[in-house]
Amino acid sequence: MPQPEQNNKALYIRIAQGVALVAGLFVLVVSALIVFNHLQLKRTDPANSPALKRLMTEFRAQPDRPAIREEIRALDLLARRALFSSHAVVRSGAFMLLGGVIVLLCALQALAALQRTAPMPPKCEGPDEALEMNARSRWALAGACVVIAAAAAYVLVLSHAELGPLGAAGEGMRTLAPATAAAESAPASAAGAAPAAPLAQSVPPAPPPPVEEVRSNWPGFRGPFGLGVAGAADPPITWDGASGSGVLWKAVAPRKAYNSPIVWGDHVYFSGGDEKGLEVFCLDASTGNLLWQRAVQPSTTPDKLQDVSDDTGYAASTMATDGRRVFAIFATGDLACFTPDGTQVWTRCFGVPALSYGYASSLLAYQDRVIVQFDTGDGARLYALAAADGTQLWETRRDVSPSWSSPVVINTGARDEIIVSADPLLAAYSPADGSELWKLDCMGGEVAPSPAYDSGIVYAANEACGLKAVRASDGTLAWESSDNIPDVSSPVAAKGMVIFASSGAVISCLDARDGTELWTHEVDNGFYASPVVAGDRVYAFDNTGVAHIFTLDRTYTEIGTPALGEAVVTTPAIAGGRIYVRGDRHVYCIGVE
Amino acid sequence: MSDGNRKTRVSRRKLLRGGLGAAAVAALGGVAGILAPRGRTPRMVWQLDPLKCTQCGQCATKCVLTPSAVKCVHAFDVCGYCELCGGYHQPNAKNLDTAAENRLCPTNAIVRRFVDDPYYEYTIDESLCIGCAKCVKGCTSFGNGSLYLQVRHDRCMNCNECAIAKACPANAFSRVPAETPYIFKGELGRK
Repeated sequence: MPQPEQNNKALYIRIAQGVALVAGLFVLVVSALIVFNHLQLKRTDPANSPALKRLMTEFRAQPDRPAIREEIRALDLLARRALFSSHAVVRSGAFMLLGGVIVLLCALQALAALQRTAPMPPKCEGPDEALEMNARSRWALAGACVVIAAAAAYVLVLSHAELGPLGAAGEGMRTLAPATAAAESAPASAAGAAPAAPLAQSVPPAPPPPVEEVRSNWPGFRGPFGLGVAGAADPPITWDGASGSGVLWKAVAPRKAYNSPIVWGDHVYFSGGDEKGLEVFCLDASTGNLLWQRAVQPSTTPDKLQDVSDDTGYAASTMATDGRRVFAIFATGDLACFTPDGTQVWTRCFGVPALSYGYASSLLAYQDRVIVQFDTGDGARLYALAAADGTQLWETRRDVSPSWSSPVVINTGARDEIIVSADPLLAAYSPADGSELWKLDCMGGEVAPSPAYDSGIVYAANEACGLKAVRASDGTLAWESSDNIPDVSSPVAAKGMVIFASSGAVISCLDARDGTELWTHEVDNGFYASPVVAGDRVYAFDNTGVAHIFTLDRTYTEIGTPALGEAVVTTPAIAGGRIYVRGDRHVYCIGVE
Repeated sequence: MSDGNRKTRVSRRKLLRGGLGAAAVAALGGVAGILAPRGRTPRMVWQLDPLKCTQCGQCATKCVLTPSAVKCVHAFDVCGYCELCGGYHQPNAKNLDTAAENRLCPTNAIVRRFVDDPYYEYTIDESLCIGCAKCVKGCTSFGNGSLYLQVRHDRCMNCNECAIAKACPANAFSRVPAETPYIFKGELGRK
């Protein structure tokens, strides 16, 4: 069957032939006309027309005959017209002939090009040694490829067996090189994936801390389980940052950041970051001395991030710890894990989050894992990584918009739930496998406040949608409120009350049963820091660093308003009867000797 | 490599130096060639001597061009501006006007314009002139000879063998340097 290209070629050949034929005929006709006209001009001398000569002779003989005169004039005009018409024919004919010849040549050239065929080599008689050699070469090349592939497969299998699989990195995740070894081995993950790159396997990992140990420390953003309620503690109520009264120590925070300090035992951790680098710091909780600081090698340099605003920065996420590890995540999407003595154990990169303002969700350490809320423009996911080696235990995709809030974990009495708030869902997930336990379409706007929990009710707030009280058992809405709702600061719930401090400088207290407003208290400055509960007191630092301390009661009773003397937008950590708070440039420890 | 071989090698510096020298010589030669006169032989053109012309009329018919490259020119300073012009009117014209029966030029290429009684100005319309020399003959026979033929070099193909020159009975055509292509009458001829 002829191919379309061949049909087109035949059509073009026919067209070229037709054009050449027409042009050739045209050239012939025009040439003939020109030659004929030229001969006519040469044959008939217009200057010596015989007829005109005869008439002139007659006119000379009979000058009084007007008929002859008129005939002379008519013939003269006719002869002149004929002469100059012939001249015009010669001129225009020349141009027509030239055009015709050009068309003819082009058509012939096209025809020759279309009919041109490549010369074929003569047929070879008998076997060709060169062809046989080529065939042998192909076989040799194929054999060499097989050998190389086998060697590569062998090396790959060998290296895999020695180093372990590369880990079950999720979508958008990749493993960076782990640093020095922690003296623990990596357990097999729930997904069956080995740790990313454990460096030592001789020492088994320590068991996760008991709840009591967690409650006695401040292991993450807003304390134990992220709920803003300190364990049994009696922190101070008076201090003065300017004079140093009541301040046990004050340490410089080397890199500007808005994450809150965390405390475990005698260590205080916080992170920092700017365009030049990302770092994790550890202070001695008793003296404020810097025990160690470690740089985190980001997957991309912070100055390449386009969407990080100045009031969010590169280290807005508060660190987390389980007492065996400390975890820090940054706006670059890099998560790093250290031992309490500063040894980097593993790192993970989730990819640069597509997020305006910058990434701000804090980490949550829960038992043997670390929970990462990664709600970005490229998709929202909740991750659980093994604390020991960073292995991804599970990943749950969420159909929500980007958010800046942090996960919390609650115990309903029947089970533990991870509560996550974002637009439009307030949702609960199983810490074991990440399965969705319940969800409620009740949130809206750019969600930054984190949920609170008390007595079976989850409280989630955002200025754009109000405060929602949702039953933790089934995710149904209990009640909602819409006045003085914070947009950054998170609510805290305890003893049948929900307390929150807004950016509009109003502290509110609602009845946890039905949302009835118990009291509000206006202050001079707004709040970014979240209020925390310690014992029967509530501590709320406003943006100027003034702590509003009041009783956890159904009426507002102010205990004190000590000032730090430095702007505060971070949530204080309360542990061991002390308050650790990060100001604009320093970390303070407030307590009694 | 031995020292002897090393000595016979052309260094890069020598190679560049030699190449630049050769290029400079070639450039000078090229400039000299451009500036030098292109031979001693001047360009030659065909010239018609009006004093030899017998007004045979073959200039109109023998030229390879149609119409001919030979055309009539008018020396106004020789012309008498006569009312009866031998180059314009028939020898025995009944009336001295521009009618066809009284006009000599077969293509009406002479424009007759009244100047002042009894003077008339005669101008050649070169686009109509075919070089038949009828007017030249009349003017030469009965007037001052102010009308005469010349080869118009803006049209002439300057053939190696001029068809008109070959047929000219008076041998009035000749090859002359291009600097002096015309033979004028009147004041122009004296310059």
